[in-house]
Amino acid sequence: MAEIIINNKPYSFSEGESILDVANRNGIKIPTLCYLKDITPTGACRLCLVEVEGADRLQAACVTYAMDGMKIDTENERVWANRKQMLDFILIKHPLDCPVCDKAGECELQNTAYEFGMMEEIVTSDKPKDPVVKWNKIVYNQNLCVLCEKCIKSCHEMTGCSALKMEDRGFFNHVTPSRGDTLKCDFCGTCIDRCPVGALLDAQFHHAARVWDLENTVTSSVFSPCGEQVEYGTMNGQIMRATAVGSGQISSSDRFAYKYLDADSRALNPAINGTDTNWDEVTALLKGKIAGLKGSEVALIASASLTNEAYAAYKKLMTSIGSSNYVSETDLYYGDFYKKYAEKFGTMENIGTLDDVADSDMIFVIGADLRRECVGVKHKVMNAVIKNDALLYTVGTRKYEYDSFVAKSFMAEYGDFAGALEIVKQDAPAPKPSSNPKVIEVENDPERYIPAHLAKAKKVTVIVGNEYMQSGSPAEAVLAFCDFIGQDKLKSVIVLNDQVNYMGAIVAGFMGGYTAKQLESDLNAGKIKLLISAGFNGVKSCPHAKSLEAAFSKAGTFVAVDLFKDGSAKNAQVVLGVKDSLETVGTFTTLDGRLVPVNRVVMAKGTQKTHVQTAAYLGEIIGSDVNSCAYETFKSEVAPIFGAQDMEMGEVDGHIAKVKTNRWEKTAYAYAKPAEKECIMPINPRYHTNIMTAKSYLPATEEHREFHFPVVAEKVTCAECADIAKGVLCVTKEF
Amino acid sequence: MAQVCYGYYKDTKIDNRGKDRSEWTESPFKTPDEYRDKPLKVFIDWDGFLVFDESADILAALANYMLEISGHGCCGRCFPGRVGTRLLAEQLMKMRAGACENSDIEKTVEMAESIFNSAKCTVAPTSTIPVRLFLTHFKDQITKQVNKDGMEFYRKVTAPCTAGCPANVQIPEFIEQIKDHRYMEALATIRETMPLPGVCGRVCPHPCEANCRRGLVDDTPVSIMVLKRAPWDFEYYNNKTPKLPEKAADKGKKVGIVGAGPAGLTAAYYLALMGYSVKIYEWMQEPGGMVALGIPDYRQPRHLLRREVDIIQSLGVEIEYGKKLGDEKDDITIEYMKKNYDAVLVTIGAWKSRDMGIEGEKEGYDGVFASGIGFLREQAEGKDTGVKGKKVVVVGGGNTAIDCVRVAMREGSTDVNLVYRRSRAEMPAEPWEIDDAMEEGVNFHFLWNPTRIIAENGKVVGVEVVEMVLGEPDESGRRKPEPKAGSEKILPCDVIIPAIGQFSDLSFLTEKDGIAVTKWNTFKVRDDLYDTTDPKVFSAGDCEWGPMTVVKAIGAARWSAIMIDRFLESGAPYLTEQETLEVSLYKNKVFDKAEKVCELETPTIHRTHQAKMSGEDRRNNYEEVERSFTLQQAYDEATRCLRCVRMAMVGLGTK
Repeated sequence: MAEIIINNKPYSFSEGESILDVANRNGIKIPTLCYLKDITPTGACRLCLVEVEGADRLQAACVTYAMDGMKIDTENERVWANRKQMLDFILIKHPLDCPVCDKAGECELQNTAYEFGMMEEIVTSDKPKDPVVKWNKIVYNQNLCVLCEKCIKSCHEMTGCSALKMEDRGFFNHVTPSRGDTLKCDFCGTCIDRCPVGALLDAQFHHAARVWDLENTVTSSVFSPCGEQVEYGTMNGQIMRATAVGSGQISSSDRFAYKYLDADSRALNPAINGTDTNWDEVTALLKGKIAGLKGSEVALIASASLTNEAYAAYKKLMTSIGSSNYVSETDLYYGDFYKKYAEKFGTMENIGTLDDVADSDMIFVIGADLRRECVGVKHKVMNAVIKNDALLYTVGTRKYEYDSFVAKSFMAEYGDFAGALEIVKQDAPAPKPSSNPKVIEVENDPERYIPAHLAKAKKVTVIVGNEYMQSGSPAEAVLAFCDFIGQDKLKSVIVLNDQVNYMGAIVAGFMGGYTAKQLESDLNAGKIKLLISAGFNGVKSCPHAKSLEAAFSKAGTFVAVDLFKDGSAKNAQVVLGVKDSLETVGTFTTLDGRLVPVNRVVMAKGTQKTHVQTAAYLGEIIGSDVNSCAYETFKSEVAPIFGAQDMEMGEVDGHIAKVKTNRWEKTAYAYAKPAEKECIMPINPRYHTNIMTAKSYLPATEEHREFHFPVVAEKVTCAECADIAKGVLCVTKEF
Repeated sequence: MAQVCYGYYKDTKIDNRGKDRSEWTESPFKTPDEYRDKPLKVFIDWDGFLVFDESADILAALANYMLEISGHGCCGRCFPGRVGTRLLAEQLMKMRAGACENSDIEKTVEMAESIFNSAKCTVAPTSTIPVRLFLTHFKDQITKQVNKDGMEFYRKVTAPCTAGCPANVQIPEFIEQIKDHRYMEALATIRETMPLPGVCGRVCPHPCEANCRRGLVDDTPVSIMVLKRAPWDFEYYNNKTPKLPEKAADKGKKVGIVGAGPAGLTAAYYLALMGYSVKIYEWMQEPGGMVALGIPDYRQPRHLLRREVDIIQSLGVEIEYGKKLGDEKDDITIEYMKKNYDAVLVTIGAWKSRDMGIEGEKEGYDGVFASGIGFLREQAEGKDTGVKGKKVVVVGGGNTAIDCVRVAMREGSTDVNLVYRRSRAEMPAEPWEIDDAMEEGVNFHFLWNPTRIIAENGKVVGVEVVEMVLGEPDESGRRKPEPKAGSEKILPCDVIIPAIGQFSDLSFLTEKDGIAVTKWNTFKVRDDLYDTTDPKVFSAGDCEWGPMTVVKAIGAARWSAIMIDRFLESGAPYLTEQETLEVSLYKNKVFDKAEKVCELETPTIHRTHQAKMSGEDRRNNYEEVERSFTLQQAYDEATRCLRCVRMAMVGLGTK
């Protein structure tokens, strides 16, 4: 077996591993500043210099391959003298204003200098004095930048935005936005988390607090169905910042949107007809109105972002009073699609896992704007493209911002996704008869068409998203496309939804039974005496949501269990303020069926209950027994779904996944071209979730400037932007 | 040639200070002593420094060299390169200002050594060499009174591979971009000096790889050619719109080019970018010249070549087909071109074949092809070559001969033979081409020479060959083959294809044209300036240099485009100071096998090989034999690059 000798001890390795890889694997510490395991090594900092026997110069361990018999010294005097010289080069040109730097306390440069025992600069030189610039939500201080390129490379190789680049050469090179003079990226902040110094900072955290004053809590993303782990730093009960954990990545909402907790419209207490009151009065009111109702007279619509325990508690509430009238809001937007999906696959769950996506060699993103719908999936897609040579195809109403990584982008003109999929399936046309049959033209090159590549692919992913649903294209078109790829190759099918626990609602049984349509007609027929909205807020631009919300007033009693007093709760007789997922404990189900933990980050500021407690509270009034403890609800209702009966909620760590099975029925489908009619495509404002946008819950005043992103254009067509498909009008989605 | 007063270069100290000029040493770096009429005072590169004027301000020159290294030469992507070189420059400036003690000098040398030891590529380490040599061997010069009148400095960043590439592609740069997964940027870098990367990524004999220092460490150089193809294939197979540089504003002048081969296309590309209106006249019905009609499709698929030409034409370059340059009987004449265009570039290639000069060659027998390229052209034009089911003998040892046997194989010949008068070692064809032909089942007959074609009833039935023995080396350096008396024998065959060399047909030129021709039957042009004896007419490619590679034609054509621009802008072509330095560097060769600098790099992963069809699978079809690197393969191979970038600088006196 091949071995290298590090500090006189042999270690085995496999070809392609660097000296640093082998050292890290074996606990041998070699200092680094620019190395990150998830990106290609840069070799910029040279702090990992080691001596390799036979080589005159010192070698950087991160970019030197381990070779059989190589003898390495990582600790001798020469190595250390040169490492210190490298660090000195940085420090001589790095402002030493650590006392006022936000990075102080968690700065890799500071820590390394301390570890190295750097005491003074060998020569003196002028410190740089470049202006600090603000790229929207990210602050760049070029003076502090050490040019390690972690930001540039992680942005390019992990996020697909490629929003940063290196400009100029030599001493004058610097990090700058790739396009234009500011960032227009996902603002996932992967760059901020990777910056070893204070050069890139979260604008909201800039000069807001010292890191050592923060109390840190890790919880799963309360925005993304991918289960990303987010570390919240709090001070005096307020969230000051959010960062990714370890080598993870989070979304812009995770990082920047947490201020919604403090919105003026927050329902901190129960309210009757718009006026805050106390729980006793609400109890008295509700007792009079709803005690003893028949099961069929009660209906519940739940948002797709409650915890698993909340779904379980509400389900318990409904079943124990004999009602099956409960439904997830997903049914409103995706119900018809899921019906056909379930007919094909025998399940509504996604097929395959996020790891399968990351490991695919061919990916079709069909009608899904990953940046705006679920950036976590985009990160997996990028992993496949960069690390697995995957061919990426998009079928959309636009070319997306990651188009440079796309093998071919197909445009759904007039929102006709079915038509676009027909083009995707096409093979190269037969060459026209010519004098020289041995020579073909570019358009006849089969290598430029999908079938030739599909034949070679081993693991294919299909992602279908909100654009597809909104376009009104038939579900059968994309389901038949799955048949085109074939059961043997198609290993993951992800129906994308931007709500954090849409999958939790599906596995809890909030889909596939009672429907939103039925609810609307029951409401209009006067059959519903009590309507409970568990956090439901319809998308304003969706006509179905609009008519459903209009019907809410037909319920005998409309109780909104909501975070906010505005939105759909505005018309409720009773608003039961509720705790947010950041204010409680529980679990979520990721879109690929894994259980992830929800931990309390801050204490709620009012008298609200959690959703679980609210279900128990309502149960008590109506006359049924619902457990008000999330831990017990988990154990009795949630864990069994995941086959983890013995598990306690506190043990949930993202590793338990639901065992999934699916069938595969062929989908009968024949494409018929619809009439060409402008397709109005509501798209999520860039930093969606209805929170961190121009429609922020915080008023758009100068005081809250950091918490707002401008909506740049309300309406865009191909006339204004060449990247938009013909016959498509993109409008900002209203919440 | 320049004379050195003092300096240190390649392990040799030169010190003629105080001596008479006549006793100075001839410069070990071959350089003119004037750059655009300005006297050469100082030369600095990775091997040391040379001073050509005792009073020259060497400290200023060294400080400037380090400043330029820090600000331009070095990419800035490692700490010692970015900051260390800057600090070194600052130290030298302090010394020059007289604000330096002995300990400062020691500190500076230490710092320089640390940069040498640690930096990522070769620019920063090599840049410390002249500084350290000066501070170690000419410390006394620091305090010497020198002439502090300004010098002009010109620099050139290069690398052994770049200098070894006739098109001077910035190889380390584009490889670095591949390593960063930035393929479109890599392609833009290649296109700066090479507008046919798809072609040169496939058919180039890649002299760059012979100049690759990885080959000194591992025995196998970086697979530069296939890496060059990777971003082009990425652009093509991923349906990307090529990102070409912005065209300059229209200059209102017209350039006419004759010949749409690699040279003509290259010049057209750069001239169009410079803002000229360009038209190419092509005698065939297809663009690409010898690449289209002389290189078979299994090496260079035609549709990919056409795509490459389409990209060039997207700049507005017009091509008119079926127009042959010649005398009045032909379609266009030099006179016509001169009359209709502000400048003319002739890139008509070398399409005429040498005769074997043996009995039976010219008798019009059925089965004797006039030439190898004629045979290849027939196939390329989709005609029936008539060799199906026949026994074929190809005569020659170059790449054309190899292409002929491989095409004959694919055309359905039952028995394909190559006859060459020397041994395999002397064959001018690339060794991998010979291997490929052997894998496809071609029979090679080395040390045989045809002496007579034998025909029956006007039809070839065989060829008489004689065995050869290698004697003393001839003027080409190869051992001269001599026939072995009495060793004649007959090789039965139906078809004979001579492929023993080409030359340009310039017979149409008359005295009235006023254009001189060399004894090798090529256009006579001025070195590096590419103008013929008619100042308005330029020439590049095979018709200027003689039959050579695609990349050679591309390199020459790019320079000729620059010279045409100078002619049209200022009346005459010339080399700028920086170009004079650049050309000097190439003439001195940048690759030095004995170079000590950073030589003992560690070995690395093995050279990556692209997927390839087996001999059995490919011998009966024209499918492309070699596939692209996958992106992962491209990355792996790119990491083998040693980044041997380095910078040279001259200090010139002001006139």
